[in-house]
Amino acid sequence: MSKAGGSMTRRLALIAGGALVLAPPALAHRAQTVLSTVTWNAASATLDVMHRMHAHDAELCLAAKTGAAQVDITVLQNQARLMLYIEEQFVLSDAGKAIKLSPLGAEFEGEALLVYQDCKLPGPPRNLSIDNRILRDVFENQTNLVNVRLAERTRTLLFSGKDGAKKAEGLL
Amino acid sequence: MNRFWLAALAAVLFAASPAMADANRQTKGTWDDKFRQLEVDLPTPNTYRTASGAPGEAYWQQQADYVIAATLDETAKRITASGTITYRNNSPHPLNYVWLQLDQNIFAQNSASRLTQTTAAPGTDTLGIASLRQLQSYAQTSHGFEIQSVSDGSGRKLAYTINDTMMRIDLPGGVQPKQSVTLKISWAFNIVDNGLFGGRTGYEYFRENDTYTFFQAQWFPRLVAYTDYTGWQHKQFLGNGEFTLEFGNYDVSITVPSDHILTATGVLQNPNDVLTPAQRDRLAQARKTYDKPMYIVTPDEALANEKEGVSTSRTWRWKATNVRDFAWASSRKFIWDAMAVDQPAGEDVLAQSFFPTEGDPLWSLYSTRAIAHTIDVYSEFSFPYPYPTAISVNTWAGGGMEYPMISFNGGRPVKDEKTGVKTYTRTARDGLIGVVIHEVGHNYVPMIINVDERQWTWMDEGLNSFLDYMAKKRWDENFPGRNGPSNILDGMTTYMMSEDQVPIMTNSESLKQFGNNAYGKPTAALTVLRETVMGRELFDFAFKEFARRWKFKRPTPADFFRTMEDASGIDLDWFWRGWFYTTDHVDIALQDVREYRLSTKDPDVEGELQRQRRADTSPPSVTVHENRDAGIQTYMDKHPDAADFYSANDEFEPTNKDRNDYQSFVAGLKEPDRVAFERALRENPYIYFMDFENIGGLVSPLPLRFTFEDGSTKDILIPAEIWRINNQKVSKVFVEAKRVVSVDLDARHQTADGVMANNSFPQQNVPNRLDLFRSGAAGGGRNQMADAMVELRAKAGQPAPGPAAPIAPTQPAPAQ
Repeated sequence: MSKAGGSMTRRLALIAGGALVLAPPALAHRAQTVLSTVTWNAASATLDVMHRMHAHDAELCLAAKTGAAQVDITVLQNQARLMLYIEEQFVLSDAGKAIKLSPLGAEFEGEALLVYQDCKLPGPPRNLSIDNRILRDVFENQTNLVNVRLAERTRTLLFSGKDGAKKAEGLL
Repeated sequence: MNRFWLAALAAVLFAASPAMADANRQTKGTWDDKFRQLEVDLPTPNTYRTASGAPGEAYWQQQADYVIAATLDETAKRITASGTITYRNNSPHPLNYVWLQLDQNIFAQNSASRLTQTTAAPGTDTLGIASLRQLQSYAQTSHGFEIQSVSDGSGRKLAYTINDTMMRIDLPGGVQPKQSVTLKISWAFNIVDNGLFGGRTGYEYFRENDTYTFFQAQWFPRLVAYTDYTGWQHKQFLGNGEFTLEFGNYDVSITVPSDHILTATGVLQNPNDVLTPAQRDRLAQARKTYDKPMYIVTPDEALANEKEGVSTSRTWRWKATNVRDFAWASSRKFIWDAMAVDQPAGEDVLAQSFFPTEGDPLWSLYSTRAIAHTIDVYSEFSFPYPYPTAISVNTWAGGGMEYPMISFNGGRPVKDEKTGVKTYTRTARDGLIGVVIHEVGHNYVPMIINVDERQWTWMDEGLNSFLDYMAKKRWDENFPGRNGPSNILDGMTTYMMSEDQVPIMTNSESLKQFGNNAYGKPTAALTVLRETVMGRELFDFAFKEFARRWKFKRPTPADFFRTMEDASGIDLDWFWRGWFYTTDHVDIALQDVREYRLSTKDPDVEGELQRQRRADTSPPSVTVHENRDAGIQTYMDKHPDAADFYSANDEFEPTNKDRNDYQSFVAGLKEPDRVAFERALRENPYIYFMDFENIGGLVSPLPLRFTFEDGSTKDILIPAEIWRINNQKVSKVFVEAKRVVSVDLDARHQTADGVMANNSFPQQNVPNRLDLFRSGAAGGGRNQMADAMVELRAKAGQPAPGPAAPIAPTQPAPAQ
């Protein structure tokens, strides 16, 4: 129903099988979350980004996205696939200007997969905006947390449901 | 603004200021007493729950016994059942009605859970085919309980009212204290396709061979808990806060197709009717097999069985004593293996797994062994496992759900469509072991230590996650294997440093970051408590005492907090307050270290030391150096006759008065002081003043590592009480025989300190993970990743490869 009051039916394309996984709400043993940190690294003059996610979630994500029956995230090529996905899903800008993150790599810490990105900048972004859609198009109950630390103070942004980009300003 | 609004505004302002809620507060300045006793915040002790954290002399809990007969219609995917519930009112209160949980109703089209569901896609309108199938399924089949009749023991109809996932049954005349009431209920429901609906129960359809497994939970009306602390537990089931239930005895008969293998909570009563002689023999043998599992139904037998189909049925009868729920699973696909678990202080337990052929080779290798390991470790922390069996059933992908004696667990290999070879990734293997440990572990909490899950998820998932962390570390100290080190205390710091979080002590349905809050942070808290604050001996005794006190009873958070203090002799109020009631995090900084030596007061000794220090710190000026190098003689060099007393003696040269004063000081020292002074002179220790700052807010013990000049090290643990007067900045003196060259705070990463860069003196450049990775020290490399990405972009759209090395489908030989 349009705001003008008249009806307007639009065409909705179905997402092919598996592209949107309806995760059972009853995962009694695992948090459906990605913990990310965005920090200003004065020594290297880089904006450093780290994403911490469950390795098995990363595998399920790639399987859903590529249609593969199974994905082994310990394979570098699959980590690269995940990085391409994250580049699309984790978007930063400063005062409307896109911050292009470079892929650094990924490593494991126990059950977690840590994914690293960075970006050389002349200084920390003053008007940072973040959109974090990682895994939210895969798992229904996905809630992501981003800690932004550009100086002393930490600002936390949560992303779930229909959340779009959020601002992290006033941290300098 | 009228008086009503002024009063309302005042009430809002009062409620909005947390400081105003404290009876005890500093009204000048911003002092926050982090060691303030919890007494005013915890519920008042009473005859049901004592101040020591134990059940009181008047402790009571209700009992609900069930006799149920159910039939599975495999074709219609439908359960039809009737049951008799005997509800004993052990409370001191007459009850005019009872509430039952109808948690199957969460799947009903008009359930509150479903009506309040929101779409997943952020910002864009998208619809997955799976969502569409779910919508179509609702149009085709109704879900939720169909209550067909409710009557009392004599068959007289009772009025009832259904409110979403709860049903009130009115009792004419009520049920008096110490009396029982009998309820007879008939019901049916259509089983949900778990692949479409999720939700802890249902059936799974295997399309490639047109077969099914059924796993049934929340399948009968269950008594709502009635407690001394909240009356009827009236929170509806919305999907997160799991189940709060009463203990009771069960006698359940389930009729299924005669080629099904059925497993359930409890002990099978009629094996002669439902098992073959071979299966009974193998089962008897498994009860004496302690080293590894053996098959009761082999993979070949299961494969042959699933190809058939029958029109006949048979009834499996089960009894379970003192359980808070009953679940079951049934299929003609099941492979069944079992082994015995020896308990040094208890009865043997039969560990069993039931899984379709699709679960192998993973399940034959690990499921039952993981059950046995869980019982070993958990019992060490609590009490011998009191039930006769512990069961793991392979159910939905990614699943994991616990019931008394039985758990439903996901995780399977994947079959390559072309080659037929089954493979699994390392994460899938570790995932299965992990989920079995966790879900079987839930037998201890909440199935036996009957915590209130719907109120406090952390009491259920947090206590269990702590124990499963201990069990996983005892499975393999690097578990999950070869994926790098994992320390829960390091893993939780990002969450704990975040701003937008709620304290652990928050109701289940109001949690933000459910997993981190209710699973991860409590695990980190209890790990710090055990390994750093209390020490293993005191923690383990107290935790075991909590388990002993509340075994088959219902503890609240206060009972846990109080017991841990009562049994250890440690006031932990600061710990519970900081970790469970606030969102502070640990970040302690070692700000400064200053080195001193003791003054001998002897002017000859001290004068020489000062002279040396002068020489070390103030060398002659560059002009003097240059003059010397140029061979220039000073006037005094050329005219030694002009020298006097001061020319031969600098200001550090003691006078006779200095020496006399020293002699008087030594002579004036009385006995204990003189001995102490002389000893100090003899030992001549190094004295260090160290400054610490609490940046994160959470007070923490200070594990310090001193590294000495000779390369040796010494660890010291300063208890958190160092912060009791000033919780922001403290200084402390240390006296050491050897010279300290560096000090590290929390070198073993045992406090969950979120910022390690400020933990060392001299300050060290502690590279963060990203720096390490960037430098290549962690084995990473920007170029490798970038190259792989370029390659992928070039051939976009191709599917991802599976595991590099396929795992041969080797199955352990069945022991006949």
